[in-house]
Amino acid sequence: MNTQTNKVLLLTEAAIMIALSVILSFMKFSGPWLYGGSVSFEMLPIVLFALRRGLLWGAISGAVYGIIDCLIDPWVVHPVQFLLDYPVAFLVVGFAGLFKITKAQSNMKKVWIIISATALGSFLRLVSHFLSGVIWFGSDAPKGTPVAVYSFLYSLGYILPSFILIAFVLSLFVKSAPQLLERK
Amino acid sequence: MMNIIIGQYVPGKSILHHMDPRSKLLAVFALIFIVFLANNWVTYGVIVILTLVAIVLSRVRLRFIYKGLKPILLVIIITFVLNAFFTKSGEAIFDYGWFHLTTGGLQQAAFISVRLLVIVIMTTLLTLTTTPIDITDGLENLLRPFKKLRFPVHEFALMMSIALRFIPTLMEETEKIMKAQTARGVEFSSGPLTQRIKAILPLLVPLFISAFKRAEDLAMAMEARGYRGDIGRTKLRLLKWGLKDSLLLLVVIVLIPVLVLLRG
Repeated sequence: MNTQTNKVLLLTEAAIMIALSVILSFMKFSGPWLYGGSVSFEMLPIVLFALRRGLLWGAISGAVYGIIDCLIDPWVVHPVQFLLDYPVAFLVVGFAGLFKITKAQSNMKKVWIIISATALGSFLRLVSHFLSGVIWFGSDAPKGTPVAVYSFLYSLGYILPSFILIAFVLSLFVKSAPQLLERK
Repeated sequence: MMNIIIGQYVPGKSILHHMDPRSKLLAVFALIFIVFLANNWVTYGVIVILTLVAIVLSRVRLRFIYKGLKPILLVIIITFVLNAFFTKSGEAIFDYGWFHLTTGGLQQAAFISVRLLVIVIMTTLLTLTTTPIDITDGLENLLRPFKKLRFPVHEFALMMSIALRFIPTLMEETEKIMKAQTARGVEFSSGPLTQRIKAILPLLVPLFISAFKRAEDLAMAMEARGYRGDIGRTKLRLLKWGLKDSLLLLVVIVLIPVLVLLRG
């Protein structure tokens, strides 16, 4: 395959992964996440794609997913909040692509890489949602409200379970479909 | 199958539906910032009236707008209560132990709630009257200047359009795989949580394998048809900027000095 074909393939793969993220975001695990954010597998295709194609493409697919997510189900109350809760929140999930899985690694090592990659992506997304909450809720709640604590706990409430679910399910991929995760 | 519309879009024939997505995007983008200029009853009044006019013009049933608002109502109520009881300014209306309700607090609470409502209604109206694919076309067109900075605007928009186009297709595929695996005895919706999480694997693995296959076929098809980026590319859907679009932008532009003059 020549380089042009490769670029088109990267583009279509990213687009299809974004579509999968949207579909997985519809399958929510119910919980008290009434406003914004929910426990789902929406980050899974982005983490998988980042592992497969590296940081840059992981970040690109994440950012585009964030924008589509906002078009489908907008929750906008503040300009900065829009950026941090949508494009940036998922762009940083692509940082999972700092890690790399190759054929030669042992299964145990692959599982650890998956856990670390998912943890990094989830943590950075948590930071983005946390900052967003501090900025917009901080500007709307009266002075003295422990905004940082609320924002942190609220974001942690759905990102931590999502992280556990995704790391667990992706680890199962190591046995059943490792070729999907390996860096191409 | 092609007609499944994801997102909140409600088909209609109103003025807002027929506007160019570019003018709507620009207006909503500007209004999210402009709303912060309001700081007294008059300026908030102007913004509320404009929002009501926009709702009427959209001719979208209030039920749909309420659906868009529902996830945010609780937040608005919480911010209202927090502001009403913990802002101490103006005359006291009610004072008992921890609770202090003052006129200043009530006013502050009302202003912030209105601002939140207005921003949410504006963005909801945009997604209610514009399909995601129209928004994508509008964004691609508006972001054109960034091409000079070598930002791959065309590729971004293409990725968005392909993703949006394939959501219904992949959704159908997901359902098909789920049915096939249910027939083999996998339970997706009942049983303990760990069982249900494990059940997701026989769904995800075939889904990802076929998704990557689909991406490869698509890339091949695009290559075969001579796709080479946006050089010399023509469009299926053309954007049309009309008088009403210019008028909308004019209203938004005029709103800025009006609010600046009227604000306290």
